[in-house]
Amino acid sequence: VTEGAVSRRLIIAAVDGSPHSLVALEAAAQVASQLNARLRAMFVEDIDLLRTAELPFSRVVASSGESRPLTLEDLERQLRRLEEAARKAVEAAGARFRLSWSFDVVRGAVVSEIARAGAEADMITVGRAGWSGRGRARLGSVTRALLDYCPSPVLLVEMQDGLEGPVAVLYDRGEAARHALDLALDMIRGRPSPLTVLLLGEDQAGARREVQQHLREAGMPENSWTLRDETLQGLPEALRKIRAKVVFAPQSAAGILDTLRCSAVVVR
Amino acid sequence: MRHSTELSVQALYTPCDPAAFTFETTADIVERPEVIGQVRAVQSLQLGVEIPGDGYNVFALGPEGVGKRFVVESHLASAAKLRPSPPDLCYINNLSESNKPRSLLLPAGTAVRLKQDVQELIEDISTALPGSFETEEYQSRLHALEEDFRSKPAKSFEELQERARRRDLAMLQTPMGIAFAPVKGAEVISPEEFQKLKPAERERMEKEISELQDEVQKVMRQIPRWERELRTKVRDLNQEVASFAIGHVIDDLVATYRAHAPVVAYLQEVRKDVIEHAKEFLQIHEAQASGRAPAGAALAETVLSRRYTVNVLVDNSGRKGAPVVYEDHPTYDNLIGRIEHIAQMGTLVTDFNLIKGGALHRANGGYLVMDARKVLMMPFAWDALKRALQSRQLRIESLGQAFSMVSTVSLEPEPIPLDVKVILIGDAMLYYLLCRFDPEFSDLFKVSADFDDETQRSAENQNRFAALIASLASRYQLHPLDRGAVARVIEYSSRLAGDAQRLSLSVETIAEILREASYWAGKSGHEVVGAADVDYAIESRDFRSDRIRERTREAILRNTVYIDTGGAVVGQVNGLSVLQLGRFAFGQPSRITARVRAGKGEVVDIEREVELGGPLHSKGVLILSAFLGASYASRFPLALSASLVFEQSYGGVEGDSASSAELYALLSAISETPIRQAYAVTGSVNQMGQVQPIGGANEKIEGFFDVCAARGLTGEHGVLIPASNVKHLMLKRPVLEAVRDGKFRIHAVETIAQGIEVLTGIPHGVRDTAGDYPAGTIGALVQKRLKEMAQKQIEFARLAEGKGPS
Repeated sequence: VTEGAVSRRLIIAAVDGSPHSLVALEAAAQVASQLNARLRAMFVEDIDLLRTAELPFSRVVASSGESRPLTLEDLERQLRRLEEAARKAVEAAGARFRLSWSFDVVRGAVVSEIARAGAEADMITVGRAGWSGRGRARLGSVTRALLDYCPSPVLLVEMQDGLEGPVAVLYDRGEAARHALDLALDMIRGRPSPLTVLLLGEDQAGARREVQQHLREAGMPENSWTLRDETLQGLPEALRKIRAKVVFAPQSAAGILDTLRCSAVVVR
Repeated sequence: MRHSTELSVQALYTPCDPAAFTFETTADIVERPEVIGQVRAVQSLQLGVEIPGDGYNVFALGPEGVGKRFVVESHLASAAKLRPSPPDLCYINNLSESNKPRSLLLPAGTAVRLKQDVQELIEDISTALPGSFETEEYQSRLHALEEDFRSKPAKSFEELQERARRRDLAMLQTPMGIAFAPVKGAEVISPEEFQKLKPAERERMEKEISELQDEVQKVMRQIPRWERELRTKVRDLNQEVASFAIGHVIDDLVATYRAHAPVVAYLQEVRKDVIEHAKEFLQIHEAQASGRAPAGAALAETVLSRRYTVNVLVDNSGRKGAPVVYEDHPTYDNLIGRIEHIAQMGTLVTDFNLIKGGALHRANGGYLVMDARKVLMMPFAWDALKRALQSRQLRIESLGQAFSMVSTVSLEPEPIPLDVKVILIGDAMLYYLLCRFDPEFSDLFKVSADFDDETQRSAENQNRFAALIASLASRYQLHPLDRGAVARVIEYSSRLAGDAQRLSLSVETIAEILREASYWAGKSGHEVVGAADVDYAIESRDFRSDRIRERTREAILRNTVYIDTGGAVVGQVNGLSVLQLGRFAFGQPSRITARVRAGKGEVVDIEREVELGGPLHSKGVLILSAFLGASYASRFPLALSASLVFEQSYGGVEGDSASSAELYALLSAISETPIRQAYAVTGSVNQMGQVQPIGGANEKIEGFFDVCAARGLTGEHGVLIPASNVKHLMLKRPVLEAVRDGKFRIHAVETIAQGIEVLTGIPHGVRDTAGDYPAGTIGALVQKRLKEMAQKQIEFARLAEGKGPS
């Protein structure tokens, strides 16, 4: 379903009906609205799950610790339910942010389906969820794979917070870092979010000059941003101190994401 | 001619001699007693106040206006000074059982200080707490704990995932939980491929998957335990931080109050409670700071303050001696205390801060004075008072709770020991009713302080009375009175008592006269109140109450009400009655008539026939029949039928004070001898013909005098009073002057014989041994007439039997 004029930019939200993915969808809608982009929500029916369900001996262990047989019938019923929930959420978010939006259900391997669709998107959003199910910060295998294969920037959305608030950019003079800085500027344009650029790498003075020049050229008022020298080890502490809500990071610095408790945009 | 029964002017008024006083004005009197003549009451009061033990509470009974409350309170004030100040009373939160607030008794003056100190403590805590949780150190320790918790399941799952991978298995998250499946390359194998595997291979996979599933189950079951561990560790951390933050402030306060063990115990509880709940307080604090809770209230004011503050019910700081409390409005709540409620989100809630003390709390350790009638009139107050006195405990319970009408959760404040003397003030009637009908009353109020309304008018008491006048004058800041004025007030007091030999102790009325006399003296520019001022005060007081008396006198003078004050009439006499209107009493004459005829020997009391006469009046009339029969018709039947009536009386008639008048009218009617209408008569009579005393002699005499004086005194006018009433006479000046000038006569008679002689001018006569009266006397006339009637009756009886006259 598509409504309104076709926008130039495209944001893809990967949804699976889980609470994390619905939060990610909300963030995607917000970003789409900010970047004046179209929103495409994708529900991937994981082919691995379907196959597993077809195996005669398959069982699942629920979070209560209870184990019971996994049947294809059960799984499909669950998927229909989640799809329906996701569709409703997309519809609501689209209406709320006045977006041009679509909702697709695809069957296949999750990572490759999203990565393929992501090739033509300006950003992909996913919820952050790890294996623990209840714990949060660690990345799930799907997320990890996406970061490895997806060519476009990936927004990992933290469960509890919105995107409003201080924004941090990790800058190491690489191409990806420049791209990340531009994206960050797009995202905060017209909003009062304070921006902190954390300078990494050997030549922090050079990085500082580059960023200063870039920000001035972009027309950012002097008092709206801060530059700070930082090391990879000190990053978690520094991010906590500035209470960053969203971190823009080049893929080279994606290693720190495990320890973070905020949303992050990883740029290749 | 002066009759032997006529009284001289000296007998009509017993003056108080100003020369007997040693002072010039009341300002010279040094010793000023607050009370005189109440020896009995004061002794009882002293006993009741000083004696220890249960039930020695006092009921001060006596007529209105004798100064009971003043005497009680001034007595208590001096007794209270000798007793120690009672402790302060506060209620504090029961931190383990909040619906049962605890009481705290502290040495006088300590409670308010403690309240302030605790308030400061609360402020200190509310600034120290948030700060300690915002430190970098706390945040990183908290983060470490959370990180540790998160890493445990994640690590286990990663290990399992790794184990699975090594065996060509994938660990998958499904919407229903975690599953394992065999993989080929990066993908789960399809069922067809699986079927192609060798059975042994399939079996191995199934077995391995089953093992892994068991492992997952183990991890899943561990998670709640890890969560619990995290919660415990975070709580311990919070407590450690809070304890460090507030420990020293509480320690300081504990050191200050180390002499008061209950306070120290409370402070230690507060410490424990703050540490346990620190994080909750902070959450509320944060909610308020971020505007999610009602704004404008700081942490200290809302959460901590309501929880830890000290609710001071009784503050005895600065008090010297025991308290004396007068409760003017002794409702249940005002007496016992109450528990208020505040509306919160549409429901009524309460806590220990809303406990309010009552009069018993304030008076605990001292004295509580109340008006008995008010206590009895307030619903449930009397029972509550008795319950408290019996149990010697003060328990605050709402009425709804006490009577199980409300079953919502409310407070049960810890009862406090009660040690109070209650002094009830009331009239004698109430006291005796309570004694009769309330079985617990006598046990609880063992002492009765019985106040007298009058005292002997001795020389000594007159001097004391003068001193009382001095004390009243200074209490109400009046002009001093000179000796003459004091003498007049004493005479007025005698008149109030209705007895020349007694003094009224109605301090209130005396005080009113003093104030009014002082007012009039001031108006006339007198520095010192003189006898004339007192006289004027009394006269103007009478005048102000005089309207009805004026009306009744007018009715007589205008001949609407028939009263003859001259001439002589058969069977008609002027009786005298007293009307009491509020505190003002006056006398007025009424015409009493008697008619006789032959009959069955009865005296009909018309008042009684129409139920306008009371039992005492009827008794008086029946006595008349008895007297007539015995005195004049002892040897033949009394064949008389007589009727008696109070003419123009439309209200009730009660009392026997007119029975002598009725007898005179009857004797006159029977003997057909006219009675002098210039006289009026009062006095009751017995079967022997003796005249007995009556009340209100002064008012009655004055009532008739006023009518006569208005018509013009001729020297014929007068009043017959019982001789035994002479000692009561304190007549007004105009009467005294008229008597002195021979224009008005007052006869004190002892017998009917004396009275009828004055009224008719004919002696009554004394019976001889044969039972006959000397010819020409009233006795003879009456006897003769009665004999005739008896004769006639006998004749009628014969006729009726058909025998004809003999």
